[in-house]
Amino acid sequence: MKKIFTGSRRKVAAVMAIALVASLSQVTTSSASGASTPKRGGKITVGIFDSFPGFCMADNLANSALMAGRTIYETWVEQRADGVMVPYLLKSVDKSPDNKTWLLTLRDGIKFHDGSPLDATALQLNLEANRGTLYLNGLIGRSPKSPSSGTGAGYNANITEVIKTGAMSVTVKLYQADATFLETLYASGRAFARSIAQITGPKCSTVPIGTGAFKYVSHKLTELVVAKNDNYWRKDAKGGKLPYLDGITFTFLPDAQPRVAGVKSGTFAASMFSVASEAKQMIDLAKNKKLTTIRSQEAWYGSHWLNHKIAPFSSKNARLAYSHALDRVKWNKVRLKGLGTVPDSIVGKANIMYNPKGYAGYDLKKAKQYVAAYKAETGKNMEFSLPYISASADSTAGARLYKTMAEAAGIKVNLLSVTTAESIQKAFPMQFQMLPLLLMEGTGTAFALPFLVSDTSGGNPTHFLRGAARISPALAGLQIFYSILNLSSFKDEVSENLLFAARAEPNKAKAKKLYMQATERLQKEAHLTNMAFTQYQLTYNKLGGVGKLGLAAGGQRLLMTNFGIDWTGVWSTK
Amino acid sequence: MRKFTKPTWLAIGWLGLMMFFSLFGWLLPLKSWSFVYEDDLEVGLFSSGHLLGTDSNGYDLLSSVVAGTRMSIFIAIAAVSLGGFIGSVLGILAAYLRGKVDTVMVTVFNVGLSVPNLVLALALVSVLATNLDINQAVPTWRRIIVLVMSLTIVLIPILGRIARGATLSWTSREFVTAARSMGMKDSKIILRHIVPNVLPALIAVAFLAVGVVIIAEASLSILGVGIPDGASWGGMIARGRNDLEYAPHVLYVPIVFLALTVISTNHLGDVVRSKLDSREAKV
Amino acid sequence: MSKISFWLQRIAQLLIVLLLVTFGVSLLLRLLPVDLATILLPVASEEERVALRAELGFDKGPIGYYLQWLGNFVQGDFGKIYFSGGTEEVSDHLKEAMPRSLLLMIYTQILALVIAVPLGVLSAYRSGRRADKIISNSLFALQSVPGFAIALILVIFLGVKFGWLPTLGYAPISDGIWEHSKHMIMPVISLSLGLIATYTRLLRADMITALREDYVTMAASKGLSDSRILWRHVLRPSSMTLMTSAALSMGGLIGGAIVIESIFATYGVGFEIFAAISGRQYIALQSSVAVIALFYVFFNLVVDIASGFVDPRTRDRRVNA
Repeated sequence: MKKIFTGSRRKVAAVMAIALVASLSQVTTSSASGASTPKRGGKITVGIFDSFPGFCMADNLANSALMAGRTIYETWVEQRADGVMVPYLLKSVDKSPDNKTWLLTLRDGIKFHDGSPLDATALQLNLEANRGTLYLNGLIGRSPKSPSSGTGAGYNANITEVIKTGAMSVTVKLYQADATFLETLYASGRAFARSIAQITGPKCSTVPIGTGAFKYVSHKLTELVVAKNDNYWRKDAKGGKLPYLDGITFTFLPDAQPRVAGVKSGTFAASMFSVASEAKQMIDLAKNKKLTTIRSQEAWYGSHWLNHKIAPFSSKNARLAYSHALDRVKWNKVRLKGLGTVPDSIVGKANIMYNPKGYAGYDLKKAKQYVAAYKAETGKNMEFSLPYISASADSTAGARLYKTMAEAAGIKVNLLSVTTAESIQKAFPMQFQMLPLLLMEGTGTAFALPFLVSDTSGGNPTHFLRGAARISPALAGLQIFYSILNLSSFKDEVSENLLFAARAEPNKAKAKKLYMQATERLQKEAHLTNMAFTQYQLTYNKLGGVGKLGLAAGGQRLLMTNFGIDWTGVWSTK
Repeated sequence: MRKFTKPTWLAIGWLGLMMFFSLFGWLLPLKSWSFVYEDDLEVGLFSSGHLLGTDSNGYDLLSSVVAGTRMSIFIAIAAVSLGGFIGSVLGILAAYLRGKVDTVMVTVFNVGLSVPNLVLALALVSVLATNLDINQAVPTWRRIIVLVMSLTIVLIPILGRIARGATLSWTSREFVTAARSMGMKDSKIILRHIVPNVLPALIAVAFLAVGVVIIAEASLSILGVGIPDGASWGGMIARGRNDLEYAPHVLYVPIVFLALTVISTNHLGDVVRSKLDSREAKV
Repeated sequence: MSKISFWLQRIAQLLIVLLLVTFGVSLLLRLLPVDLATILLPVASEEERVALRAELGFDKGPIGYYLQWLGNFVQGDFGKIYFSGGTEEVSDHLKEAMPRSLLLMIYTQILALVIAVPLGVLSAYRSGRRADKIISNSLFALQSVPGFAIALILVIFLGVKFGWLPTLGYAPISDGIWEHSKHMIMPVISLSLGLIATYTRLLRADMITALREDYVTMAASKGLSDSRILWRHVLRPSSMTLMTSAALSMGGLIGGAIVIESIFATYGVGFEIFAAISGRQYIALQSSVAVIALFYVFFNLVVDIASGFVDPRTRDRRVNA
């Protein structure tokens, strides 16, 4: 669901000290700059490491750009610090006992930035746009042309129907039972409420209209400018208007150094960090007493996707050979400067799927055995091309290290130089032999599942995308959305059935068991592997109120994630 | 031959050392340039075991810079010889034949010159290095050929124009007109009378062009279209940009090598030119 | 040759160069072993790609495509940037990038000339003496160090170590002169050092020649002061080559500062071209290169006009050269 970056671009740092299991995110430096009374006004600039491709359904904002986008857009539900999904733009959520019918009711009185109301019509249209029915209708001429839903179609393929059941409520029917449907509705912070005018208008990609605390002012690929929304619906603890800041400029800076310099000098109120080569900068900034540094959980699982459709990774021997060849301790030391955690499962410890059983960790001897087995099986020496972004020093360094590791096991690696644009184009659908790309994330599974199953509709024979093929053979290609996120391009009925069964299971303990079995199967087959468990960092200078504003439904959201912090309750102490 | 000055000896010495590195560098008892020294990350200059230190990925800088010599010098010499040869032939012919050939050649040169060098090289490399089968990585040798070809194309109009200018000043000389009126064959006149006279000027420019190519190769690496797999000075500079704040020596090492080499070639170019031209050197 | 036909011929020559450059880029795109519509619209239905091919003229063959592009270009339609939906106009990007590049170029030229002229005069005046040698040798070394190396070293010291200047970005003049200059200082220095060396050497050589002319000896014998002779009688006639060289380097500076622009994220025209290439926005590439070529041709014409006015002999020489 995110924009792509190959290599280590997102394999990021982890906790310096030993992370306690339950610690959600920690403030590594306590700051003196915490005047506790909010100050109104002021415009700030924030340095980020992702660019702004656009704002429509198919334009996936990545990490730090998502943080910026979320000042304009809000989600239907929000994840509380303990991981539970709670209503956000929604007032309440009710579900049938079989987890197949979900009734979503909206909060009253919320307006989009264009003045239109957030009501059942808007909610329904957003869900239809996200799952691709609007787009399909446009293609077959039933309604005006609507922009593509992108990978949102795959995420929402389990939905069979979205029915308006009241002025402020919508009923969603699912094909398979899904106890984690709210996670899907959240899509790791990406499934936004867009205004009807934006979705159906010609400027869907360029002018975002949401309900958030800030309104869109202008943007280009490298910058997003937002200004205070005077009619914002949330209020602070004392009933005062939000947000406090007058405006924020988010500036995309691919290199870490200017983001460090910016936040140190105060030109930037905050800078966000992620890249492996930024580990040094992250450590350095965390030591700086004048600045405050916060880090996310280690809930990002830098995966390597091994394409099952073509040689060599169509062979299990090849997949195991590569997985065993990756020296993750060395990677952590060299690339992450010790800031990551060496993985022992395809997902991190806080994830419900976590299970070290069957994980093909670093073992050079085994790697060589599997290389030999591959040769015996196919009669060929094992060889593959590793895509990396040559314009990024970081991606290049990562690729060179992968190559060194693989070659130690006797696997020949050709470095495949690509541009960011090419890598996106050729990863969806997957055409590379393999691709190192951080996509799997989170403590839940709804976001990870589309990467691990061959058909996100769960085999739904009545799904509208299947119907599309009957209308016109040209539309059959749309079915690709069922599997577009499965970059390893595999179909494993054993793990797939376990995953679907786990998703349907309302009992958490039972579900966990099923998920863990699925993980074991995925790891034994080495359908994918990974390099490190990583995290993100935000360092700020002269800001107050970070992480203080509670959720509308009570409780706090996660202080820091890959999409940063919530800027609504933040003020400048400058 | 007149005695060389001290700087000239230094330049010759440095270039000799670089030639030695590029030809026999692999014979030197150096560390492997592609090995990751995971326990010596980012050590500084003159550390034990790593004379010029290592970068943040644990690569030994001395062996990298020596290995990089091969790539940088090879690309420079190949592109300058090819570009120089083609450019000179075209330039000399244009100036000698004049008329339509000349008009066409001058226009072609102007076309090439109206796009900045680096833009032209960048566009050529990115188009020529595209592959049909996306999983077929463009092999390093093909990337090198593409790079050499692109830089050659960039050099042709520059060197061609100079060759043409130099030839023009000779075609009107008495001995050429005399040879012509005596019915000497054009090819003979060119080879006997023009080339020997134009050659020294071209050699002087060729030295300058070597510097230009080395810099261009480095610039392309910084922009991410250089040689990724393997060592080149430009590649080292491109990778070192990330280390700028915490380990600037990672940048200094290749920059010093590159700059000294370019200073040396430029200096030798100047020496050759001033030998040609006993008057004050005019650029 | 009459004046009018001379100018007509010169303008025709330059127009031909322009047409050939743009056609060359157009052909280069055709060499790509892939379908351009697929590159520009990676996530789209076949129908949308068919529509794009028709819209851009990809289905018309190289010449038809070129003519269509040219027609649009002449009317100010530079094409689109196809990031998610194709709503960004190349002309909007260039409108933003062009002032940055122009300012960068102008400051670079001013700085280079302001430093090079006194240095050139001094080293010509003291030709062969110590001052001349020091100037010549140090400039020679500086000229050999590539701009990007100077840029990176400036960043290490002025930006990172001392923290005096921002290492990245651009501020328009409307943000205040100081803010604007802070962002321009390092890129301008990086670009101008090489030029300073070139200009100084040019001026020095020309002035040394001029100093040997009879009228200088005569002026000296009349008892005019050295400085008066240098500045009044020698510098002016000697500055022609310098001015020509400066004008000719302008075209190159506008698009050729790619590396410097990418190091400092100045995002001028050079960077637009780089972004077009790495984002595979080939229409943007074609139009941006055309704009650069346009500038090159323009400055060439300026040089012609200027030198034609100053010295009719150069005019004839330039026709041949």
